[in-house]
Amino acid sequence: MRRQVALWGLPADEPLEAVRLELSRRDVPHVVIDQRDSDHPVELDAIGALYVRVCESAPLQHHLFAWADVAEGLVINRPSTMWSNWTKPLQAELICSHGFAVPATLVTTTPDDAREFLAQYPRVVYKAVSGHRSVVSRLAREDLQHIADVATCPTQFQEYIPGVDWRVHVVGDAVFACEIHCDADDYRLAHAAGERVELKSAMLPQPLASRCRAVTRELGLSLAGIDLRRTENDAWYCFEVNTAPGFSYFEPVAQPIAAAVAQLLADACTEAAA
Amino acid sequence: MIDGCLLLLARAEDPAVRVLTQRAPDRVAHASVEDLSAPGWRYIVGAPERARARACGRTIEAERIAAVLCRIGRVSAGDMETVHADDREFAAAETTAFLRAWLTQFRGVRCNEPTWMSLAGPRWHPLQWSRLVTQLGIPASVAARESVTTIIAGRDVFGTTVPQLIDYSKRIASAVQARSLAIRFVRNREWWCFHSAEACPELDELNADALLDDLLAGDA
Repeated sequence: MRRQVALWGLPADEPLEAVRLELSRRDVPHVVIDQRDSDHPVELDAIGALYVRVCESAPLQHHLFAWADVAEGLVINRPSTMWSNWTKPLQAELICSHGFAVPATLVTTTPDDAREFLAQYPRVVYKAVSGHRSVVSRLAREDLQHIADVATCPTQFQEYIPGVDWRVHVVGDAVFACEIHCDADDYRLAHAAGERVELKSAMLPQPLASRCRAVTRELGLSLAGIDLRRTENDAWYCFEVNTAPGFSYFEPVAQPIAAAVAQLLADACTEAAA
Repeated sequence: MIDGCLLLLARAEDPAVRVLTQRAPDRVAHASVEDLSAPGWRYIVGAPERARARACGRTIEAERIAAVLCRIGRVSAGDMETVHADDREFAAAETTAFLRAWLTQFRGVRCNEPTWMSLAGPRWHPLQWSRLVTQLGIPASVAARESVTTIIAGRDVFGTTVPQLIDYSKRIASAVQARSLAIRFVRNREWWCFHSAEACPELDELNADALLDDLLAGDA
């Protein structure tokens, strides 16, 4: 049977479109499944490899979601492997077990716990526990007057780690790394705040690259976007492993990530057809 | 509340709360959705011994909890009544994520292993169930001329005396790491086939006792 690569998500999504262009360049048969189009029939037997870039805010075809988890071919990434990024403190435990340093992290509904944590560390950030995209913010003195609000919703506090951000993408065995120079607490939102962000392609030290491959493999992923920070003392902290990374932002600095994803899908599709 | 209790995470209207708390009033600590939006919960990365929960309006050290039974698949916006209406979806997602981390880090007995789809255990799509039972060598079917529902409660199987269904039930429960599960089987001619499963079965006095005995064994 003739197999094709399926790309599932929103057609306007940049990473999805970048992978589609790379597949076109390679003349790899492919189909885009628009997640908003639940009436469109999908011939599952014809799919040799699948790239999942579904967006939480749009409707989801539940049958296809379940199929993506049990399908035999390559799926980047299977839904059941993406869950670790929906529970960040739990993912931090997994990251820790791979030899990365992780910042001291407390999640609490108890204001006294939060106050104790704040007294323990000179600088603290707070961020979402779940996969909801939220701003990483440094806790300011004036925030303390709202600390009782943690009682209504578990809130994650993290020791602030100064250093240089690195973003590492692992695609199969390939590793792409870049340094990010930015003064904002959350570089992803720095542009919007009018702050400067400088991305620089960089070579990750070999032991770190191996560790990134290992944690990606251990989480059952074929594609991951790993957020690291290197301190002045050369300690490497890992904050998060993004299981559906929006890699397009990093591609302009010589990061051919879409090409690597497309090649991985194309190879898997050929293998499935054989 | 004595040491070695069962932390029961369930909505107040869940009939299992009444059944379990009546059977073991001193051993079951019920955490309702109101307890989820109140001071007491704590999770520290890498320090399970410092975790805390809140139940019956009080804070409990995780080390005093022998076992956890979670009958809430995910926290919904409707559960977050004390939160501003605009923030309820976010608060529900955050609380669900927090509970998943808390349950996974917990070092005592987990009644059902939380899964990526549900805090209460294996709440899967029929495709996922079908793959699992096929891997176990158990046939699956949707036809329902005759059906039997078995209830797993700890190590016991209720609802059938058919040896094959007892065997199937135990193998499925073991594969999904669940001690509380309802499994429906249907018969096609001579063959019993898996039909569906539910991670939060109804509890009666008999299977509630079996479940409590299993979860709290060794901690009386």
